[in-house]
Amino acid sequence: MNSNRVLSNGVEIPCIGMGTWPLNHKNLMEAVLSGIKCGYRAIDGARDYNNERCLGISLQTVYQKTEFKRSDLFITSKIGNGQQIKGIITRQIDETLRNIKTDYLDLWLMHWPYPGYYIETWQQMEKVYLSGKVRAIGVCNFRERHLKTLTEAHVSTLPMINQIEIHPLRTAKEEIAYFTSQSVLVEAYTPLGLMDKRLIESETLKLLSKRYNKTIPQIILRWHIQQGIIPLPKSGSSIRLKENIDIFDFSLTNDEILKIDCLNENHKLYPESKYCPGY
Amino acid sequence: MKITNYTPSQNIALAINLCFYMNFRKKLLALFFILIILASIYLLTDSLFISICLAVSIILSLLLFILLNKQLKQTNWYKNQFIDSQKFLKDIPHNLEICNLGSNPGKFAFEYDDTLLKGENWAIGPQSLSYDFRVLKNYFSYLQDGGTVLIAIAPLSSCLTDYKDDRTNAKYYPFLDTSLIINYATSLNLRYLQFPILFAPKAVKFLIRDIPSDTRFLLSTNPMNSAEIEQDAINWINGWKNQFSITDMSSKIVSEENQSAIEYNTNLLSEMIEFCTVRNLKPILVLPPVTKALRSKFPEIFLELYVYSFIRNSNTQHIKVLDYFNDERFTDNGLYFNSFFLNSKGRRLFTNSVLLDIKQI
Repeated sequence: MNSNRVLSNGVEIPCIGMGTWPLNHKNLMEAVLSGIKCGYRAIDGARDYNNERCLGISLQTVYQKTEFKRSDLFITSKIGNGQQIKGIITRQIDETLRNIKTDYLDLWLMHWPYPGYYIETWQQMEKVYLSGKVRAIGVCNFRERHLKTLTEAHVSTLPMINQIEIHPLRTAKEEIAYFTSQSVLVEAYTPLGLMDKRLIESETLKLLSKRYNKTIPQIILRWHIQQGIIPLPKSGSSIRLKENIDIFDFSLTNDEILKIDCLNENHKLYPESKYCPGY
Repeated sequence: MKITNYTPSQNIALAINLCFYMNFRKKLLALFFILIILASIYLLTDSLFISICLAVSIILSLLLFILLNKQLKQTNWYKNQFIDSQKFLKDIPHNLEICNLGSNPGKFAFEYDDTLLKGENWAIGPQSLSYDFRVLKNYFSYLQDGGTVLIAIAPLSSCLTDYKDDRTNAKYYPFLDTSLIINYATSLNLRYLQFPILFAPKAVKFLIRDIPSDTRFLLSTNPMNSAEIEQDAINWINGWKNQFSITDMSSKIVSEENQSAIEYNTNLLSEMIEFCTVRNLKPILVLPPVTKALRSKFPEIFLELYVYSFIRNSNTQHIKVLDYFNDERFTDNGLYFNSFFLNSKGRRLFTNSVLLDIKQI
């Protein structure tokens, strides 16, 4: 099951990645190094995480200290709202590449569908994609209406990924179904729901944890994987990083997946309009 | 903003405690700052004694400034300016079933505590329709899919446009995204929010004699008698006439300026309604009630020109309009705390009536 997924343009992406927010400096460097050592190949960053430069230095360290090369990794970054407002999107990618000390990104995402800007941003991102500086482009926090707006604007490339908040307290079934039907792969940020008390105390998760001799986060990440969602768990601890990727030696049954689905409360840990007014 | 009243002596104790409990980096920074002051003065005066004396006085002045500023931020004068921020700074419940927007008439008209619904009153007094929309844009994600948005319309909502003065816009600084605040500037944030003592030195007088706290929301009776209510209604009308340059309430002619404001707000309200429907929210327009004394001051022609035609022209999507302006159930003066705004008793009665009416839609 630990195989790659394939984007609509044929580019392969690892089925699990590691998040990097809000890690920085020493914590980020240690996390990236130990993450890659324990098996992560996809690293999810963003300009707005304010750690892009540190990520670049961390990756340099990885290349120097391990046998891994740039081509072994799948690196993602995102263009933030501030950069969307500034415009000149093509320059923004150059800055990101300089920060990450690489000559290409595997995936470049639009962090938010910022009202009044996101169509223009996407059109510029398409140009960057055609230039070869990024192997794939996608979006984050898109709803059906945002994708429809893009389609109506007659863009030539549809997003290859949509990264949204998904965890058992927010299963986002309708969104997943819609984007999957449009050949847009779905990534999950905050995949463990910040280990909310409701998850820690969930009898369903406790039972499954006992049944498979796995931790609750492992059960949740497995639930993501089996739905075809790419989870992006973040941890600064090498033990947790290792634990989060040790999920490929068991499978949940369909019934068990449905039971986890039942925990859904449509609880958004990051209410979109708070981060992207007018979303 | 934490609402805690500290005495000056408590403040000094807090400052001393803060010095001890500052983290290592902050302590280092403070020490570095003191050394810089000391070194600069020493270089200028060439006398260690004078340097130490001057450095101590500078540090003491700074401490005094910080303490006075902090004390000023605890006055009712300061808190009253940002009183409506509190509801946005607490943990807002997720998946709200209902919320309401609006200016003071909306603020004093709704309270969901006694209802079975998960709701929030997001009205701010006073507020233009433009800022209603800004608040909605910033907070609508707290509503559940299909949630209800009550847009409270006051008699003069159609004439009020964006605020031009920075002080009025400053009340949004604590809780609105900066991109939504008209003329947002960090300097204004420092001026009105962070360091009121620096930019409003006259306000120091409130440290000695403060103004009363705004407790209008807590009132459960009407402290005014009939004559006072009548006078209050006249005052409101005169205030509006003055604010919007209306000479004759019965005139069929609307000034060019007001006409242009009405057109602006018509488009805005129409846009707000569309914003809600596109996001699968259910907008409902509500005209809260007023006392008979105030109601009687509005000629029918005025209401038609400034209220009802405004609503009709904005409501191109034909959403529900709940009009309580003439509702006989809310004519009792005891439900208000002046001629215009409902008190807590009236608010509860009114909210429940609105919810019942929505159910019947």
